Amino acid sequence: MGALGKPIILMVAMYAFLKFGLPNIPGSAPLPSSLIFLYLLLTAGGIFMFKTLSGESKDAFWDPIRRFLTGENIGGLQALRYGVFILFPLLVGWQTYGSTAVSDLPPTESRTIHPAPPGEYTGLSNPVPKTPENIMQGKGFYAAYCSPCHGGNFDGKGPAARGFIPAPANFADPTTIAMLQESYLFWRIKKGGVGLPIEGAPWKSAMPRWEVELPDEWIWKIILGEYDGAHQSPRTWE
Amino acid sequence: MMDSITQKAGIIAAAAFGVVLVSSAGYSSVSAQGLPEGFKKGDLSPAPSAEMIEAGKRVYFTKCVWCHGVDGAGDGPGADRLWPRPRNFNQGTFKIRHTASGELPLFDAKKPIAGQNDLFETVTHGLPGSAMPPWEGILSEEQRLQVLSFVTTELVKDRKFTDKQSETQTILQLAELKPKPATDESKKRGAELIVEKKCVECHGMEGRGDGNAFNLKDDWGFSIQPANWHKCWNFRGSRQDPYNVANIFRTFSTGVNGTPMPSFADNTTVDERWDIANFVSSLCERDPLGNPLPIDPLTDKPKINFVIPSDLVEGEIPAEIEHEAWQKAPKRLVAMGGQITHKPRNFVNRIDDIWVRSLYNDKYIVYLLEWDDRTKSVAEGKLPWAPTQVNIDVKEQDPKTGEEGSIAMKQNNYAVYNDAIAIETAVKWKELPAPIKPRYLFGTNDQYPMDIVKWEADGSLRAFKGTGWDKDFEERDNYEEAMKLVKSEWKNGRWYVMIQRPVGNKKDQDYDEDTFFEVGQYIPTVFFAWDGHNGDAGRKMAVSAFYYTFMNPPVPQETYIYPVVIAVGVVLLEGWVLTRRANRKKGKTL
Repeated sequence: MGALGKPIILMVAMYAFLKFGLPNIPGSAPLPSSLIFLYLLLTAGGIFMFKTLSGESKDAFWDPIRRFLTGENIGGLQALRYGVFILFPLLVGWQTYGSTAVSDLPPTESRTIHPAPPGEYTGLSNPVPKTPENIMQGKGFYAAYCSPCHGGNFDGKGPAARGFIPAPANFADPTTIAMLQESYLFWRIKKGGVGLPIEGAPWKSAMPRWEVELPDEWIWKIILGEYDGAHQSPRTWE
Repeated sequence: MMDSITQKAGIIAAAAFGVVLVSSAGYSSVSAQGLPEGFKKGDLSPAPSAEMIEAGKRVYFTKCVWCHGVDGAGDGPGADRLWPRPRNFNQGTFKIRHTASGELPLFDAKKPIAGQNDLFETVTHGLPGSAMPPWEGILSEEQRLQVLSFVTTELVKDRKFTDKQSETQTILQLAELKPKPATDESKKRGAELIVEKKCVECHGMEGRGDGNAFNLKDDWGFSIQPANWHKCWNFRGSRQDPYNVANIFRTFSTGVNGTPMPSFADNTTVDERWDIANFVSSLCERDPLGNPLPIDPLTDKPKINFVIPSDLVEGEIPAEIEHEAWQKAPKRLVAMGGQITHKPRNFVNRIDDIWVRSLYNDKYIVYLLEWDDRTKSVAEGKLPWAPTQVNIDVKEQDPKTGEEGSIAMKQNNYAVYNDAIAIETAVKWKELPAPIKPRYLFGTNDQYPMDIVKWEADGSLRAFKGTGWDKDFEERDNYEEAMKLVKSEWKNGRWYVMIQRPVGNKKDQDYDEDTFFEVGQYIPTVFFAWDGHNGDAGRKMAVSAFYYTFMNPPVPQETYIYPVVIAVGVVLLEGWVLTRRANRKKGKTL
């Protein structure tokens, strides 16, 4: 069993890391089980390749498995062997049932979260100077117009947010406004969900088209307040 | 100057006299019995340090000022779009406490301990059902204590947390009171007590908050509504633990300061209070097995499944909800948000979820929609717009805090329109190229229209074609005969509406305007709801995201056959491998 011990420990360690370790790394999120399965499969494949590189290591790898499945005088493992023989077909059958039975999960849909903006909204710089007064004013506008959905915490959990899919953007998340330019935000606030290109699934977003209600200057101030409040800074090309 | 000093001295003298009077009165009538059962006298907490207050001020002006306002009067720039409104700190009136009715809440800047620090827990867990978010994870424990030090000393203006002359602390000993097991007997007694104690007068016969619903006001004159016991995740004092009876017990014992909810500590025993808490908690929505609904930590509300399954029935679809087929049909919660994309916006949507069930047979599909609405609203007289009109002139709000005509003041004075509900499905959804759907709000244009079936509380059921958020609906002439309103009833704060429409059969229907309801397909479905007492009409409504109606096909035989075949195959394979190996081994040894 010695040759199998290491691979088993490695697999268990890998699973523990993916399941419990990774989500605790800052800026990371829990992995979906399908992805964990894929990574484990890759790990198993790697171990298998490594173990079967040479003839000796191949035998060392296969022998315990062979002995377990067909060898004689394995003592207490005999019961386990029968267990495997019985459980394996049941597992395969259950898997088949799971993949043919009707699921109650909605079909997956692709949505480009940050589609490319039209030309006139690329590379604009914020005409409003970044002064404390302007930031305060922007935060005030944010509180009045944006916070019902995007939340007082800038985390997309405002009281009016519930029920909407996609959920309002979480600005505190480093993968939203921190990786976008100010001109991108200007485009999104001005044109709203209706102004998204087709790959952005415009039929789903509830984001209002603020150009009909707010002057450009306010929008720029809101952008200042948004970055400040969410403790992020816009992406720049310098 | 002189005057104010003498005045103050006078007040202090009077207060001191009062204290003597009260305490002597207490002594004469056996001190301990002066307290309601389950309460004990406590000491006022020491004042927080000046550094704490100063640091808290900085936190307040970055995080809290936007809703609670510069002076803590609950009038920040965000306040007018929130319902319930942000707390006005000035009066020192706080809702969720362990202290007796009318007293200040527990707060000690040095003791962030659950059960001993009401304000700290409120900031940590937020107030579910309101805009107050949980600040745990955003603000450190230290920062939460700092900001509260600032609020309790500088923004609470009419009272003083450290003033022994005017303030007392009579504390509910919740940690020492063991909850009573929620037996049937206890719940039964609770059910009797809520009638006896007149809880039902405000909370309604079924506890949906529909008694006296539009006549209650809080201390600031804003409209306030009794809690709906069936949605415990909206209980402000639930501390993100909605199914915990202790929280209900606490609210019932202490009352909710500043609101018409009194404390029942004086006229109920602890035992009776547990019975009531057990009964109220038992009303909260649960799954078919009676387990609490799983709560989504992102919203602090029940988790959502976006597929609404429809089960096949043989023969007629029953019209009675009590019928076995409906009882067995899976029930799905549809989360509703206010329509905030276009004007007039609905920031105070009163309908926040709908329960949906569905059944179908060879001819029809029936939706059973149930939602809580505290008032049955049927418009009096003729409405000044046609049913097809979308761009109608209803008032969104007048965002001025506390003034005449503000959104809060108006809560009781809206013109009453019809309660209504609509099911919207995409037309030709199968022919649309893969990622494309019509907009959830009344469709995109003529190319991507929506099929809208709308019921109104005046008893009408109409079918429309929607071609854009600002385009009037188009009426569909010969479709309405194909639909049927199976049931519509308002009872004790809840609407029950059953709508029947044809399933697709390709032959005698054209599908340019109608959705083809096909078995085994995910049909994009959106729900809209209007509360007539909230001034909802036209685009001012509650909306859902895209859900899917899925008509469960009769389970195909393959679903059962394939797994068995494959499992048997694997067994044979195992046998073959084993015998082969056994033979080879024999060969070797021989």
